[in-house]
Amino acid sequence: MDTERDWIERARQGDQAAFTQLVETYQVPVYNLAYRMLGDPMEAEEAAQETFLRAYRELHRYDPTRKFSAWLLAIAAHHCIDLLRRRRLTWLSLEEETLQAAGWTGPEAGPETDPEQAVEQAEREAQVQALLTTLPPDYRMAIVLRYWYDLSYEEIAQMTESTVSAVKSRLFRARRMLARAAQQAGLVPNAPRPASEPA
Amino acid sequence: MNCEEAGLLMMDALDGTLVLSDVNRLEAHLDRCPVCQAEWTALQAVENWLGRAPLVPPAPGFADRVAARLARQNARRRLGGGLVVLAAAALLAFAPLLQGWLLPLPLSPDAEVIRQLARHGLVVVWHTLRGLWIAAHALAAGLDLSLGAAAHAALGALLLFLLGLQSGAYRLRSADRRVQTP
Ligand SMILES: [Zn+2]
Repeated sequence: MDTERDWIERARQGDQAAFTQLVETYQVPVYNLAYRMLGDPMEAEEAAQETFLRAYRELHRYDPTRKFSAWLLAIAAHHCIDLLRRRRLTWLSLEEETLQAAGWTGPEAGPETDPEQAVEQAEREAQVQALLTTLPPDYRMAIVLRYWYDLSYEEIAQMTESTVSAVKSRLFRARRMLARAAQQAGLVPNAPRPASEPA
Repeated sequence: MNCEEAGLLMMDALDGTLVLSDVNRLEAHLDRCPVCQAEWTALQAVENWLGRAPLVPPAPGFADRVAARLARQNARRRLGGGLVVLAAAALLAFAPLLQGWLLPLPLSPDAEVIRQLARHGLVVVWHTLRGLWIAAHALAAGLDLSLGAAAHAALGALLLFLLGLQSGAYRLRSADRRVQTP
């Protein structure tokens, strides 16, 4: 895109208005990534802001042959993984609580959806987010990049500085963990077990 | 087929890369394995939720908040830069004193001639430029103005030039002093 290239060039020369255009364009994907990874709107806001500030500082390192969105999302991904690793000790103890009491109400419903549908969607959203928080950071990132950004295994591997086979196995395990978590939370029928499993 | 292989085929099915012959084999396994059947149901449900989950936007005004933070950050950096330059200028202003204390100063053979020149020309120019330099940066730091890369390069060059003048002028002054002492 010519205008985007132009914005990037001008932002590189210190034009903050041009950079704001880039923020406007990519705020939703960047914020969503942070929100899906961190699970908290305030933290996501802070992480998304930090992502853009870093991008501004590092703009001279951006290689124009790469997609700008991919470069930006990679910055967001690294930052979120860092944040999650720093709080790694707490997520293990939090996951149970989050699953039981997912307090988030979800994105605002469009004008055409009826209230009942909106409530249902909000509930499902909260469940999805609660399920995501049961995953370790690397797994969560693979799921987020795969489902919200439609990236191929190759693209995810590139973005997370990993290999295709590692991404594949991460996704494999992540999906299974999500399925188990959904079963345990009673969101889907439980697997039949030979005796002694409480309903 | 065992459950492990069925698990792998389920992933291919979710990615849409399962070939028809494998579809049939997987279905056959699911028909007679309730554990895999339950897992497959859960996997599909999760797949469905994830596939329908929207991109969540930030609260309104996000771009403005980033712009404000960026502006604050840049202002801080400029202020820092201005202070460094001011410190350098101050150091420069006191350089003759430091030089006098720290360095033995050799005399130039043409000291007397240049001394005259220095008295009437260079020293005046030097003090004027130094004053301008300090004033410009004090102003820039105080008013929080961006000087730009070119302006900084120009001022940097000026700084070096002044440094040269400074030592020249000092040599002359000390030459003067030595001529007069005996
Ligand atoms: Zn099985």
